[in-house]
Amino acid sequence: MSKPPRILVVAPMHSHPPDQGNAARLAAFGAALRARGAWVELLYFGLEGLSPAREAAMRAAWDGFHYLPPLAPQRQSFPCHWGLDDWCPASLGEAVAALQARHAFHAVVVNYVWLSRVLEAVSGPLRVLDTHDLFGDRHMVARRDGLLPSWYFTSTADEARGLARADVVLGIQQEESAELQRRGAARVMTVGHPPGLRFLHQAPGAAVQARFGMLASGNPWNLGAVAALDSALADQSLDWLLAGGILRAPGLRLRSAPRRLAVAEAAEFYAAVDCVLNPMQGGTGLKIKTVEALDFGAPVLGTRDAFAGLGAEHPAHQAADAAGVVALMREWAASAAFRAEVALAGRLLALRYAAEVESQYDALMALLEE
Amino acid sequence: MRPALRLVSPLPPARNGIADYAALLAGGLAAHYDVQGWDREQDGHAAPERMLHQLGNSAAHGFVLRALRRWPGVVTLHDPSLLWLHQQVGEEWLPGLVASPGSAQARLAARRGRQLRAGEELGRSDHLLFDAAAAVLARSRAVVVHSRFAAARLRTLHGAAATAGVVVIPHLLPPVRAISRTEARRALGWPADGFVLVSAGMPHPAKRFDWIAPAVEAARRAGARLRYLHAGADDIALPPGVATGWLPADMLDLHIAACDALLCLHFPSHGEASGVLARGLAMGACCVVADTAGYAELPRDAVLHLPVQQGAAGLAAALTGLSANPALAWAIGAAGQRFGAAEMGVTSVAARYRDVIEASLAWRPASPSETGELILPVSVTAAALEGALAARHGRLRLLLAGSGTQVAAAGLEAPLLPRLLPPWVRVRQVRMLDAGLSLDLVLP
Repeated sequence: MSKPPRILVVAPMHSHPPDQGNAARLAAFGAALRARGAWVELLYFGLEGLSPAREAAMRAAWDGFHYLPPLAPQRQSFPCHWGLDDWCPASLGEAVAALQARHAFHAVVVNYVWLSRVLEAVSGPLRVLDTHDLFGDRHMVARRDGLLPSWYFTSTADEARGLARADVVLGIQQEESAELQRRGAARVMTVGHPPGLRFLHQAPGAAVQARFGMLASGNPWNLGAVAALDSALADQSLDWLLAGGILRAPGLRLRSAPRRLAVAEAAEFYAAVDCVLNPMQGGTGLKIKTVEALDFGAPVLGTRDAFAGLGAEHPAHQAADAAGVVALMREWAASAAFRAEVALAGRLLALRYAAEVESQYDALMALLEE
Repeated sequence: MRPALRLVSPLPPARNGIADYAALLAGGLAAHYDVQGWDREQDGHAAPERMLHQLGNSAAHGFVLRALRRWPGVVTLHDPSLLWLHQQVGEEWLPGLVASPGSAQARLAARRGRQLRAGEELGRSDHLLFDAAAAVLARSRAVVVHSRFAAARLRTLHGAAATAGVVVIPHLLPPVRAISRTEARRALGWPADGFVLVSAGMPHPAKRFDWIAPAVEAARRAGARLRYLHAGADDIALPPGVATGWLPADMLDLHIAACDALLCLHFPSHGEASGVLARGLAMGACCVVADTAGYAELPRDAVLHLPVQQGAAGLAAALTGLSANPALAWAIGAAGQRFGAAEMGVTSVAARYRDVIEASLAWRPASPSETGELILPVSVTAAALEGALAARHGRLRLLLAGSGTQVAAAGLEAPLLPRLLPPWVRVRQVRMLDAGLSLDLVLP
């Protein structure tokens, strides 16, 4: 192909500002392909609304920007879970087909299996599904972890039907790609979330307010992780700080009394702590918050699940549970050598993972150029 | 009114041949320019239109290198290989790696570079692997060398485009006091007869002191009655009584005038100029040179060429023959003096410099390609990187080669890129690869 590939990305979330995990993923995805010479346009199916500032930011970040206002979701098709297409109106597919007719994209990339219906509306371009996560039986996984199911979840059968609509399915990490293959995806590629390696360009600010800190949204897994950490801390001997949307969760009471910090930008959080915690257990997908902490060059202590898919090797990145994270916190507080080791291990992990993800994007780009 | 010319160079009382050369040249150029000499680090000056830099291969020229980066001009490259200079001023020399990436020489150089960084000492063969002249070529409006060999060497290593502004101007004949051998010996208190052999200048292994001592011994065993002196400092453990210690110019002249043969052996040679040789030609001394590089370009009757393959044995044979027939040595010296007077006089050399300087005002510094690639170790210093980038503009892909651990460790204390990159460089993209950190840069 002599011309750069033209790609349409369809997403139900905003990409800019990349202030949440899936937005960061979307923004990085577009940037990585554009850096490789692709022409990439975004169709935002506006489930999260569209402010003028967001629109301006997205228009600046993509080669083309299209917006489709949201429609009310259909009623839930099944008593225990959503149907595959319950959140995807037919009009979205029609909009994509119209764009395809006008612009002749080489590939259409749909975000989330629950928008896979869009892929049925187009013929000709390569149909790519970026899954972000596993949604088949997600409600059962949540219940197993003692959490109430939330957001979108469906059956594995419906998920498999959605996966089958794509020529290529993208998993965000290796283990998940293997699972997607087991669930019926014909061709799976792993494309991770590239850390920007911000630590190469800038030092974190120096407004430290606590030795340890956690930045989290208020999803059930994060709430569970914070509760477990609070319980494992047992007393107030280790100062820590909590920031992010989780502070708005109703009834959040913590015995370990972390300092609560409202931040407008993630950078404020990383400047406010010496060491970042991610005690998350369970859950699926890639923990974008872990990647973000590595991106900032912050030392991170966390569970194996928090580092899933990143190829972590250092013990500081492989705690079994929140109690293990607390043990790491105590060692971090006591040992300068351990602190130095964790700092280096985090940077090394970020660099290695970045190299791996760059290769993955190279492979994806090669496929798009076929 | 004569235009202003800034001459950036070590100048007397600095004790090196280039300082002497620059002072002499300044005198000749004074007929054409209002010459102002800069012999130390400069700061805060506006860029003059006419700049002449004198660059040699030692630490004394670090300030010249830095001035050149800031104020491009005409450069006299007294030694086209600048490995020592870069190393001694504390800069990485890998930026000047001459081999094209991926070549066997580049791989060998990379391996050798790791050994050197691990603490091994530089060897003579390292001059074949590393050369920092590329940045000088790119930053110069024109480059003066003293031999066709030096020009050809630069062209071979750096390409025709980068060396389009290289011109050959013979070395300068220093003004010397006319003094006979007899008078000089009397002034020095030496016996009037007897064959005296002299070497001179800064002692350097390439001046083949390892040939001289055994050759003198062998010649003496063969019956030659000769005395050997080194007119200069002894930094390389010459036999006791051989070195005179550093000499001022008039005393150096006396020693050269008093000798029967002057050893100017440089092997291997990279095309460097020899101030001692110029002085020997001026004084009418019989100069013995290695038959190599720029020395091979000298007329066969003006100097005695020593085949380098014969080493100490060849030198011993030459010394035996000359000491048995000093008149032959004196005749060679006289022919050399005539050649020098005709080709290397300060008036004619200064006029040729003037022509080059004036013509260079219309020249741009050699232009590197708009896009390029550069590979440096992630351990590179900011100063070395700045030097390597000074030769380039436009888009550049820079690989900071190293393992992930090396890259991670390099940025622990302070963010790596702001610490390394000059502020005028724009980073378009950063990619971590298995080989190291790849940066897509835009240079002004």
